[in-house]
Amino acid sequence: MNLRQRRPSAQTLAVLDALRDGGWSYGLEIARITGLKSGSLYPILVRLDERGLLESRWLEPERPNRPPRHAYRLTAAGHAVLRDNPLPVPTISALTPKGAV
Amino acid sequence: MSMTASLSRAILKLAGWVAPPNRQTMCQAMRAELDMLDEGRLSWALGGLASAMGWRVRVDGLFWAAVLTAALPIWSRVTFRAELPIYDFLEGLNAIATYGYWLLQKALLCALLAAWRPRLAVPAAILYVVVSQAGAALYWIHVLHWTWDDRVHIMDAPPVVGISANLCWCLIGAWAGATLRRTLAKPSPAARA
Repeated sequence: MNLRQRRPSAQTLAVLDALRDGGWSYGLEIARITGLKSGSLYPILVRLDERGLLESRWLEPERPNRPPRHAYRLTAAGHAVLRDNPLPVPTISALTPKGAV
Repeated sequence: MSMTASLSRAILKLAGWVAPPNRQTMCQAMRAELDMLDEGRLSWALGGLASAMGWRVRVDGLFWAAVLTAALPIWSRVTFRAELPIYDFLEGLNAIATYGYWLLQKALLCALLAAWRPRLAVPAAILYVVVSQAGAALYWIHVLHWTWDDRVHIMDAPPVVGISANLCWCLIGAWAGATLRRTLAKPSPAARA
């Protein structure tokens, strides 16, 4: 059963929604938008990557003496899943750390 | 570099060792993001380690389950020996002190579980009591060959009273852990906005 058949979790939808604009986003930015901790965020990113819903690449740092950063953006399939499963408004408030625990 | 930053980097390095080869990229990604953080580094690193452990368990969880199962008897022997001085001390007081120590241990364990996953607090507490009491009952029946009669007492009380006391303490512990977690949880930037 894949994401097209089963409704993605609220956290997964929040990650997809954070990448909605189509640009490259870093893990930290996605974590800040969704309120997810690294322990929840990265397994989701791995799953989405494996299912072809997002793509990733290393980007050169914006500041000198910093390591390259891994960035993510939605694929067409990811946009389709997001379109088919819009993020309900209550989910956004439920994704604050207090509600997500 | 501050101590927190060094510790966080060390934790994420450990995560890199723990994670299976096909997840090394994600571990590097988490390390790169760590350098951009001004606060919450330790939390970020611990989350990364948790992710790495989860990925490792998916790859060879069965192997580690077997190793842990084999190590459990040794571990219980070690912890039992470590606790002997405590029991010696408590025996010098009275039985109530020993029972209090047991209940405190259970409550603390449930508090830790609840602090980790507050939504699972009540089911975890109930499950813990059921499993621990079922284990004790199996021990009585199959090892000590006791029959279920008046000899079976839990903390010098009839079983229903003893089990209820255990359950109550576990629930209190779980409630305390969950409340602590919710109190200490920082609001996200989205919530503050």
